Amino acid sequence: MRYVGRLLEDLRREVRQIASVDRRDIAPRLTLLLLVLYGSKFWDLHVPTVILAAFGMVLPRLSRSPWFWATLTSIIAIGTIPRVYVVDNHKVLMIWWCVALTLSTRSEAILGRNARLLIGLCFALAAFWKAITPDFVDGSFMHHTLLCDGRFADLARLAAGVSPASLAENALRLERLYASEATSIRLLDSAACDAFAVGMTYWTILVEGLIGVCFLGAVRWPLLARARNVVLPFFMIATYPVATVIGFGWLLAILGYAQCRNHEWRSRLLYLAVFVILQLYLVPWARVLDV
Amino acid sequence: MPSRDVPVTEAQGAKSAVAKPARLLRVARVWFRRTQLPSLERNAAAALLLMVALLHAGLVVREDLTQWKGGGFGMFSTVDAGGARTFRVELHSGGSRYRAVLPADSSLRHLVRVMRRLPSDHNVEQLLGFLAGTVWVLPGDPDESRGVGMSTTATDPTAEATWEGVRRIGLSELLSTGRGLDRVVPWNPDRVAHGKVIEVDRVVVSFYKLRYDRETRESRLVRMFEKEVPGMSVEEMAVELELPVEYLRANWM
Repeated sequence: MRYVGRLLEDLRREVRQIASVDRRDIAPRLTLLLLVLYGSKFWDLHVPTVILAAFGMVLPRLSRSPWFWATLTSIIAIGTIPRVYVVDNHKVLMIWWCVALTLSTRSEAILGRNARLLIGLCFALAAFWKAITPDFVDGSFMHHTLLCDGRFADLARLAAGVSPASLAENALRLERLYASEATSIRLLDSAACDAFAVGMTYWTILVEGLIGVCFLGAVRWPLLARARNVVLPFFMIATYPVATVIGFGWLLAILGYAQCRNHEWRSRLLYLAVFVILQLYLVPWARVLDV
Repeated sequence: MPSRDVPVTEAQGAKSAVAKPARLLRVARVWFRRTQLPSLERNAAAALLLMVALLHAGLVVREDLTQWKGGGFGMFSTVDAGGARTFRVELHSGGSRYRAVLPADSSLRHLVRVMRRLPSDHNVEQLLGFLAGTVWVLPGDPDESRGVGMSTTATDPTAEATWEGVRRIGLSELLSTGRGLDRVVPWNPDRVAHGKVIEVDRVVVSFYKLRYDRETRESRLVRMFEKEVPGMSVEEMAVELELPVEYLRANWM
């Protein structure tokens, strides 16, 4: 009992210490880990990034140097920008975050402001594109994604009741559409799929729009400032089991951590916890639990 | 105490001439640090994000860039993802039509990936240029066209994971499922041992994007545009292959 008590006490002390560490110490190091694990896989970008990141992780003072981050930013920008029409958006967001790290070494407040703006703009734009795209607003995108995107197969099966046979048949029909002279196919779904897709559509626009508003309006409206550290972790925990773009999730967790103010130590810990939880989403739970 | 009237020597004059720009530089640095740097530190990252997002929006509207790519954060907003776009290349030769299979050559592969996402005039012209300048061969053994490269009707195998079902198919399987038209491949003596060279009158490229209607459950490939270019004459092919025209006609056509 005494052993457990001491262990808990040690743990509490460590957690308190992590909560009080300067964000400019933790955020850059987490970013280096992100760049190594979820950075670009193009060799000309990956190799120099990993080498620099290794130096940054081994020499903590280096990860606080603006020159170090300027070099890393230049490498990532030079490697990513010519491929901007091929790479995912979060790879572009990584460049802007590296720019922010380069410019924010003088003050925690500046780091926080940059992180908050990047999150706000990223979600506001995501909500904007969804809201103005007809095939998203009428639920067609979500419906099609549930029926044809392999990453959503478990959700389609468990929540929308689409049978595995229908999902396999849809994949086959889609293959035929691309491989033959045909120009249209009809997909198979379930009775609940339609309503579920429409629900997901409105939920997505609502929550992404809310995150955008909360982060962009946090300085002026205290209510939004308080809400922002609830809606973003909630979004990440709810979204990434399905859309397993863990690199994006990690980047958001780092940005979320970095934008917390000094007194928001619970939120800082929450973002660090989400950072860890996101890795658990890579476990194929449906197969492990045989559901 | 040195007198103020002491004349300035040549060396001192040169020194002060050097010191002047250095002092100006120092003043400029202080001015930048005090007035511009705080603003740069606070806003540069967000400003860059917004600039690229505006460029992305412009390209979506004017050049049919897919919303998914380009740094504008339009991912997961439409079925019209880059990997869901496709194009079909048809070769017209006399009264016959053929389906072209493109080589998995790395530079072309990158061009095709970019073109699917951003089918701008420049990118399409580049592809048309390659197709028009290619000598096409109808393999003697149809199996020889398999595994040569990527089918023009296949989705991009390196595309985003949205099209998991399609991504699972190997290229060779896709090639074997093609039907309707005979398949032709670019001339490559290392890959195609037997066959005949096709004199192409015109190359027609049709570009499609995916549309889906929730009401009818119908997925459709909608043609975005069609372009055509003239193919190579026998004389041009002979020059390209460094063979006499007569030899080409007698042995390969």
